[in-house]
Amino acid sequence: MENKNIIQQELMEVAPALASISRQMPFALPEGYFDELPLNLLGVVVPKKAAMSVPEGYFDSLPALLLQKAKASAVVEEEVEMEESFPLLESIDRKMPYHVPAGFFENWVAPIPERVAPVVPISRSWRKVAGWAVAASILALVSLFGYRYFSADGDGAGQIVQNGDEIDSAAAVQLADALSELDDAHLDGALEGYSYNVDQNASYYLKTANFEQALKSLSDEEIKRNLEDVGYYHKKS
Amino acid sequence: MHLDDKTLLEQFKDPSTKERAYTAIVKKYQERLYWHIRRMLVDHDDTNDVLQNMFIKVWNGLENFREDSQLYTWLYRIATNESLSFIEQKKRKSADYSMSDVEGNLSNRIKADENFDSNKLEWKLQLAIQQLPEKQKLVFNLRYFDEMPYEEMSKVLGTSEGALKASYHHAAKKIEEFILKSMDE
Repeated sequence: MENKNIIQQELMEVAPALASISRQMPFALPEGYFDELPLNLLGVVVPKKAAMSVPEGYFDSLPALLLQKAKASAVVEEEVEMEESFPLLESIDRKMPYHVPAGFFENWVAPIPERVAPVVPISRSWRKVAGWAVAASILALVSLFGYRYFSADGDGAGQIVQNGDEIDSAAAVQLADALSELDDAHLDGALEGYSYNVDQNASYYLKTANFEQALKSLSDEEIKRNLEDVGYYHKKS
Repeated sequence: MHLDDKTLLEQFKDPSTKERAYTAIVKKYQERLYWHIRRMLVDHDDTNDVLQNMFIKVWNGLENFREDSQLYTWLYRIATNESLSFIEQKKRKSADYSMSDVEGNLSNRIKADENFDSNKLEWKLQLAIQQLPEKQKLVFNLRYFDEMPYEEMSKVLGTSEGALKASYHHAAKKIEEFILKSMDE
């Protein structure tokens, strides 16, 4: 540090009254403070190796170790729970009392079926739902697009007419009524009819539930024939 | 007897002697830095907190210390910055307090000291220092108590030597006036 005399001389020139005051600090501080500070600081900045060390690779193996212990603990808990809830059951040996002929499992060969399992037909209930789906779709499409209309001529025979841009809603309602009156047998017949009594394109559209395309691809005769098949005209007569 | 700074720095950079060197640096500078901080903060507990924080920063930053400046200049700079930050934090915490309230608070702390004696000049001097603006207080303390050359002080405070001289002269005159006035009362 700078020569004391220089500083004292400087002070004498600026503030002579200050020059005579002792520079000793009047504040007190805890006894032994400076003796302990270096060690205290070292304790803060340097980790305590002896007290806080962990074995090498400890954290690498810790997850697997904890998982193993957790699983073991779960099994023990389950066993304790069983013992507490059902002590009698737990006391019984789990070994089966039955006997099988000697060498049964060693000699047992799984039988190979000779025939392919028969195809089980679709259940009636599904067919009924599918039939109604076909009927509802036809009704919706007839109402929406209106390019085919049905009308009964009163003599019991159905007649299919082209009617320009007008929609004959009475015919659509009549069709809905007719379809709703069909019993299960007639519905089955309707499905059968659509499967076999239409051309290949219409059959494909019906099977893929593309009823709009199916209707477009059906001729008037085909629709009439199918309605006859499901008993519409027969019922009306 | 303390080792010279160059040897201490070399030892600090060697992992096998790092802790020993650090302890030696703390022992060498702790008292000077403690009093430098305490003249600013007055309270021992506050001083202890700031001193410990600054020495923790020394541990973390000493390896990157560039030896183009002296070690004690670097240490004083850290101690000064830490003290000023601490004062700023206190001011922020008590946002309703004005600067004069902070100064008054420090004066009250001095008066509350169990050894305080209003008739003794050393205590009058401490009260007078608290009346100074922060920068003048720092300059006066570094020159009057630590006998620091203006050249080094310039490196610690980042101010020109001329400005530091002017600050010191202003501070010394104000303190003298304060003490003479208090003696008249």
